[in-house]
Amino acid sequence: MNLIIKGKSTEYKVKVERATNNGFIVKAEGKFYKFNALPVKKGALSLIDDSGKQKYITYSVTDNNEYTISLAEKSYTLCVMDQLEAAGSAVSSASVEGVYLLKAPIAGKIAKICVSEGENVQKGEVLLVLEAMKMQNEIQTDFSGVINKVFVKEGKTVSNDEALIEIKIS
Amino acid sequence: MRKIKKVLVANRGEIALRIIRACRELGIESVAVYSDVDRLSLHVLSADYAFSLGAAPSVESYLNIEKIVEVALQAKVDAIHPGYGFLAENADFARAVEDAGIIFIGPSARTIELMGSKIASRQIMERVGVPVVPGTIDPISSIEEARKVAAKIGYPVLIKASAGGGGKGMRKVADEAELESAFRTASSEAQASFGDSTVYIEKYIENPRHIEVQIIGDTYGNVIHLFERECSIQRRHQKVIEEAPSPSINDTQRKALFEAAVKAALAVDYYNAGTVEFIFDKEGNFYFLEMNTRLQVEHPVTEFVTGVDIVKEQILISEGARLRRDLKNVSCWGHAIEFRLYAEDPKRNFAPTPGKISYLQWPNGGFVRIDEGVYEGWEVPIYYDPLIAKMIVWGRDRKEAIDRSLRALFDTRIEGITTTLDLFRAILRDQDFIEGNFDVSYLDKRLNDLIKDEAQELLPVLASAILESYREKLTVQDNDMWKKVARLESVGGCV
Repeated sequence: MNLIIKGKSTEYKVKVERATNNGFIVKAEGKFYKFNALPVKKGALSLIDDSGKQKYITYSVTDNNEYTISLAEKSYTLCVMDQLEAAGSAVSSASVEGVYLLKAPIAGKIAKICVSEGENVQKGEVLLVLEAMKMQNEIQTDFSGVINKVFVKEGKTVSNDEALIEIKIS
Repeated sequence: MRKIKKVLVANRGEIALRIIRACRELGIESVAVYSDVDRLSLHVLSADYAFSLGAAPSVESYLNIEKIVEVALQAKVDAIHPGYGFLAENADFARAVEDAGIIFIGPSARTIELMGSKIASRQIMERVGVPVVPGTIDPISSIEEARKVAAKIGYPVLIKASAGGGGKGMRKVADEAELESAFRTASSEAQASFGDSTVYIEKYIENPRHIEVQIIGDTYGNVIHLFERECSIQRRHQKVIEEAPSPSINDTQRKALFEAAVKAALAVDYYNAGTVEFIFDKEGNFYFLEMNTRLQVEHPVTEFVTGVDIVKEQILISEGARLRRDLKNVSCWGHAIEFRLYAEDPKRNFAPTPGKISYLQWPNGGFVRIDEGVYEGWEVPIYYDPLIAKMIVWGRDRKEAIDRSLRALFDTRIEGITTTLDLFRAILRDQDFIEGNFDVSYLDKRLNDLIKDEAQELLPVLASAILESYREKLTVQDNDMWKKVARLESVGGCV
């Protein structure tokens, strides 16, 4: 997952990778951070980095993706843009009767298509790369199955919610 | 003696809840009143009875004397506690309550009236020998007279409109050269604003400290003091942090201050709880500022260092009880600090930040008290005071109180609205505050330093973690694990 995080005067481009068991590896500003994060309840999570340092984080998110994040010492307000965030909701709403229709989470350009029709894919596999806001977003499938149809070609500009790939879920 | 069995609390928010709690401890039934937007306010949820007052704007609800008295009669209460703000210092209200045959928990209407008048209270204090800011409240009619008075009390001086308020018709004069033009502009401004050009002159006290004394008296002429509170950390002339005892006065000054406060209260036949406010100049001289004829927002600071429940004493005194003998021997032990949690953004000049509290966590652990008026999920309305809660912390000495306050703030979280929490964390780490080196100008001078943005290297990490959990993709198995732990714990097992 790729994010753009905008603070008051700073902007970070962040790459987030899931490791096992709530583990994450975040690459930001050329540095790697490894940590484990676990939600406590709505609006709160506990984070432990690989030195064992624990942080209890509380937060609120507004509709326009403005985050307020509080640590024990101080609160921060920032804007998080995630090109993939909408993908999750597109997935669930489109999966009807064993068919999963992947839609474009945001407007952008298809940089690369990694699969072809008839191909078997596993959950988590990258289907295509969508370029938006100068970020390359790897779009994964949340379901295993067979590629039914690819609606787009590399280089095509797509709009938000446009159908990209259809998968027959196995 | 008239036993109080049911009290109407003519207020809202944290102070209404504070009073309801005192009633409950005394076995007294509580009656809340609420405006349309406050139907689910915390004070309503805590009360034994609740009655609607009307529309949200204060004039139609919490300031509506007629309606409140009507509700009080309908609810058959014995007494009304006004809290602070709203009608607490309104002599007409106190009179209306008494006229309805209901006990007003506070001083007499006459006392409220006397102390509400700048001129009357100053005259009384001068008469009984309580120090007031040097000057004259007799009208100054000519520039010659102004020159004479100013020279006598010494520059800088302040020219004030007799009918004034809110800084209108007020001029600071640094030396004689400035006097004439300041005198003229103040007079004409007073004429324009109040239709009365009368002005008077008093000494200008530059950046004083604000220190006040809690007093309590019964209806038999006994008045005692419950020590002082230091209240110099202010924004827009409103207190933000208060503490007891004051870190800046010595025992000699303290003794003189207490004597003056008791004298002030006796001079107006004061009964019930009240506060005499003073200002201290750089040389350590103090002057009477005003008397608040009600329960003070910061009363818990005094409660922590004395062990006295001031609200309960107020109720007992209103029943006609004498001051308990042990109250006269109360000592001040340790140090207490209060933080007023405002729904305000210090980074936007303390603009109010009404809205829904999406996450709320109060600190627990020893020696920490929360007087709160909100809960998680509650939407702070736009109509009223932005004070949402107070945190009061006690320590054996000031250092321990500061360290403990930081610890308590470590555990405090309020999400969904901006508050003064971060400002408090910064103040508690500020060397000037730690050393007790401040006056009323502290926040104005230091605010920008205290609220400046700091880099936080971990921000990208935090944001990523939140985003992931926000998408609710995390931890199905771990949540199950968690439930399992909870189940095991509830039957005394272990994992």
